[in-house]
Amino acid sequence: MSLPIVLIYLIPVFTGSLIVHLTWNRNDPKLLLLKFALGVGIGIGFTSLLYFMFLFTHQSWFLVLLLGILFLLSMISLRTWKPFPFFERMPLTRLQKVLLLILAIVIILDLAIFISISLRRPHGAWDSWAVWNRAARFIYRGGADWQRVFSDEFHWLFHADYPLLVPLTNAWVWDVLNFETTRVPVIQSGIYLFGSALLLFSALFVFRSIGTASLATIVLMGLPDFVGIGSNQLADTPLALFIAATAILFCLYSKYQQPQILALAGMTSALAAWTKNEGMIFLVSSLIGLFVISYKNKQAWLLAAWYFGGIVVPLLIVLFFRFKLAPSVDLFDSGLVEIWQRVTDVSRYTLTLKTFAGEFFNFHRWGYNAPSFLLYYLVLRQKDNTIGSRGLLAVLVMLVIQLLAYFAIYIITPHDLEWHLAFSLDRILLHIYPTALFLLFSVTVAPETILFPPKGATSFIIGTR
Amino acid sequence: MLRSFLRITILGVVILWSVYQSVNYLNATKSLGSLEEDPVTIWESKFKKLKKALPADVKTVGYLADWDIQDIEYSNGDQHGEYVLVQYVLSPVIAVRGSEPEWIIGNLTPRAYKKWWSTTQGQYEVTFFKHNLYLIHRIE
Repeated sequence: MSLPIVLIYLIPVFTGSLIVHLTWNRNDPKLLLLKFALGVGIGIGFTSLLYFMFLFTHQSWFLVLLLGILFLLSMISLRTWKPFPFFERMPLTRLQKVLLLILAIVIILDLAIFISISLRRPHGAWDSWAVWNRAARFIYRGGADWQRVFSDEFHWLFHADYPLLVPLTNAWVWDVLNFETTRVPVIQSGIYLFGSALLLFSALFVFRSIGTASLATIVLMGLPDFVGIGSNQLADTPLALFIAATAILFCLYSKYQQPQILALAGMTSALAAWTKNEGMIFLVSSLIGLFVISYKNKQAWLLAAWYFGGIVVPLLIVLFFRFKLAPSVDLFDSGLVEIWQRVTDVSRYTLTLKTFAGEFFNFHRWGYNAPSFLLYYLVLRQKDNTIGSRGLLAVLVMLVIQLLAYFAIYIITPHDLEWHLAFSLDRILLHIYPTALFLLFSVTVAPETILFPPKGATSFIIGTR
Repeated sequence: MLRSFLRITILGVVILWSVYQSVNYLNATKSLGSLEEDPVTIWESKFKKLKKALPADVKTVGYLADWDIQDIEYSNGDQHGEYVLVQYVLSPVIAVRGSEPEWIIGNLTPRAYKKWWSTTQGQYEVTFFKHNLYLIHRIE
């Protein structure tokens, strides 16, 4: 049963990869894996948007439409195809082989964790039943009445205002299969979890080295909370993937100076907003990131045009959903007076700061913490980097804004603050975890230069192109 | 020299710690419960008969549980959890709290049911199901 589902998911994955390749038509074998990794999120995201629009037609030939689009994009790709060597021989050092082996072990362990959790919790965790899978059921089972998913009759616990990327993806796969199975959300969550690992690996492989890519991915996939939450059919991992994809695309622009890359950054930013309400915040962070990238750039308007070219269609759909269909966000249900009272309550700042600090000092009690990452940076930092300081600065600014916005949300939340912090902070900090690791491993030295560096290693390992 | 040593040590610790935590977490997943008894699947099977008994054209039902009955003790966490599960299982029927709609799902312990029935006798038709579940229909 799982194989047909995987095959169905491969349609948007390949479609997304082709969208990435056609938008940024750079023939470089080193970029293939990264383009594929970017295509995973973009393809699944765009398919969910397409299904959202398709639902209004009350038709039942979505698979035909998907295959048609994939066929069309494949034809265009073939027409514009420029031959290049798919596999360039790349000699690996002993250290790189060892790191790849350790990465393989960690990935196998994570796969076992993912299967173990999925077998024990086939319906996911609390938020999966309350929000994501429930919404998917309303859309799929609702038939012509699918818009009841936005009903204001829902208790706030069910968050009928939450965006629909994850539920719609489950719904369209069930629609294509013509029956409902828990394997669909299970496999979707697996795609985002391992897709995030692939994205980080392929990005650092392009920017830095195989050793750095392996090490960063080992650290990402070695955090139990990231794997646990990623296995529980929640929307936090897809959001983390879109945030990381946008950050990586900004850095890719800094490296290659090709403005069409920013169209892809626009797409991933809009898809973040289509995934979770926190993605709307990221949309603002991403705009500020664009400003950082474009500041004093002679092509600033061109960059903005490409970015908005990528964001405009998905964003219009997200705004249509947000302002025409979805009920109001429960965080802003209370009046301005109440919000002002919370803003001026010092005890809320103290509690929120304390909880943030606690989480930073020990990520959900798994022994990972911000001070150890800071120590890693201080000991292994590299003065010059190959990504371009503007791209990294944009990423840093986006992360800080995202964190400040999360802090502000806790200050104004109408729910019990202690409860809200306890049940969400660890999850939402994971939104920025892959991006933070990308940043950390972009500004620190490659492991190849520390352990057994071969002759000429630096020139080979760091930025061959 | 010291810097090199420090760098190598940090790299080693980072790698070993990540592998160790992965193994650790794999073991920890066993505590999530057995492979056969997933609580959500159990709730789905509990509701099978009740869902069949509910008229097909009903789009919204009321939801009554122990937390709605005066002087009945309950665990707040459990009541919230059960409400979420009931809504998940009933999809695409919306379960709103209270007894306003014509059709109501009762998830009441025997004491809570008795107490509720004593205050509303005669106004409702009740179908009993296993696991303290009731399908309640308001008589016009």
